[in-house]
Amino acid sequence: MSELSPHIPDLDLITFYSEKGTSMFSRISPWTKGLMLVLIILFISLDKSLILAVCLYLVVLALYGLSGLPIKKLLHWYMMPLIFVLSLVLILMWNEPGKPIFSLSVPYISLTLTDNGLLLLLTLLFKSLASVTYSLFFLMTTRYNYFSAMIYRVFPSPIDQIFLISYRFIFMTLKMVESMIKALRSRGGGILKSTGRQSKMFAEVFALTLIRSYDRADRVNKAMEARGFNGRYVAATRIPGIGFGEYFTMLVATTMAVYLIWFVKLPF
Amino acid sequence: MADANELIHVDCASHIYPDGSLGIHGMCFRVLEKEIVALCGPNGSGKSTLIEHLNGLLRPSSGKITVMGKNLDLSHIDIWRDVGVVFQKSDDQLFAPTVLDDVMFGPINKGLTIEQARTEAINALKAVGAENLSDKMPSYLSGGQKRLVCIAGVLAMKPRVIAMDEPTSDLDPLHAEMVENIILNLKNSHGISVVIATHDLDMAARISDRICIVKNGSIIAEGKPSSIFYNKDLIETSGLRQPNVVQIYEGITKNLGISMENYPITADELIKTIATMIRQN
Repeated sequence: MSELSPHIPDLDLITFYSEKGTSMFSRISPWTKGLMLVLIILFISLDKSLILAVCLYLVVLALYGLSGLPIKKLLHWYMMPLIFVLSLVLILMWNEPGKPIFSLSVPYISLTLTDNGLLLLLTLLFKSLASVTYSLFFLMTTRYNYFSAMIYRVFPSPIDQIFLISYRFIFMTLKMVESMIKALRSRGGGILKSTGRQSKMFAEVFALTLIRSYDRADRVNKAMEARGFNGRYVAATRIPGIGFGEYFTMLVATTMAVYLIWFVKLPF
Repeated sequence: MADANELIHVDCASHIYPDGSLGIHGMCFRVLEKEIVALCGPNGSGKSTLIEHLNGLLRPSSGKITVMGKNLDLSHIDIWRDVGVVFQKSDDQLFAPTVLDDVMFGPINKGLTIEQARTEAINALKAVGAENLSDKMPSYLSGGQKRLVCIAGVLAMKPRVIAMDEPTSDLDPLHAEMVENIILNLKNSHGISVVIATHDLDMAARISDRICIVKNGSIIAEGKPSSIFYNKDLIETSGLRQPNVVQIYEGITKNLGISMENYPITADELIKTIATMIRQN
């Protein structure tokens, strides 16, 4: 396994866990896990309570942990979604109605952080962490061929075709970038260390990666045409069906979600 | 005039790439039924360009190519059904999420149902000894395993001819030997003609029925392996080196000052020849 950065989800490691398939959640139908993802997204969209957001996050984190997936890696991978959420919420959280906690005055602008602003920050943060954790759980407990077959059956053409063909291509391009970074490191370079003083060289190397990727895509396309590819790739994998117990679990989860969102009054 | 058992006929074909470089030039070549023909030449001699013409991936700028009696022009764009290509770099060929999906790709394009394609794919994987890889992701296979899967991907389409570009390059000796045996098996058990482009003359000597020496986009000599590989001037002016067996045999006869009575081209033939020489002396 190798990685570009500890903070970027490692595609190789994700695929390793999904292909290993030893977790008990790997035996659950991919359709069930996909439908649960939809339910989680709906829950996140409708929920306004921090307590529910935290509970959801803890449940999802427990699922992730019970699957034997690497928690330490997950904490590293949170860096990117945290940056994304904070970059938005750090703008939105100011001047919310509520009890002021902290004020900041600069010429022409007065910024006040209220309890509701802080609540908004925490709620969105936990919602995003829950969705990221569940997405990684889904990816790391579902074999790629099931995943691609689901995309093929659910999404219309050409979206499914773009996904089916681009996945392997992304894999190969990442490998190419990894090799390049290894070559740089072997001669004393590194992404952050060298960017400042060798930015021109990096620009050239990344341009070369794009050109090589294009060249490789051309060769892959040629190899596909040689086997009669006419623009339509069929994902033929049989996806395991949803079991009775899984239907029951989904029904219970949906009922609970509806009950918690509409019928339970929580302090915040 | 085409022979009755001629599957492919390339008649003075030339190909010029868009950048002006010459791929093949006045190329005349043919593939007969149930034969293994090796295209031997240095890098850039036009072997790969010729292979891409055989499958219809490239069209000749001039000249004519006939495959199974059909003139390879725009009206015959489905020539891939009869002529399969195994590419030099396996990663270019394998793109599906699992080995089985990848091997099923060709049969599905041929119009087979999913179930039929699955059966063909499993049979093809068995034929190359890779049935245990069917559920694996191509990314996690070794170079040798990838090559076997690539061959299965083409074999599953049941073509009449399979063209292989450097089939044993980058392989360890064990996998190279496996690929050689598969090539022989394709001819002997499946009745498939095989065209191999290679600069590994030892391998070509071991398995080929006919050798074509390619230089500057044309075939400059062709014949049986023994007649071609013992022509030192021809091989060296073509930018190649004689097979090891030939070099050893020529060295021995030269050192002992005896004339060559037969022309071994494989290690087994060389051993028998040397054993006979020792017994006679």
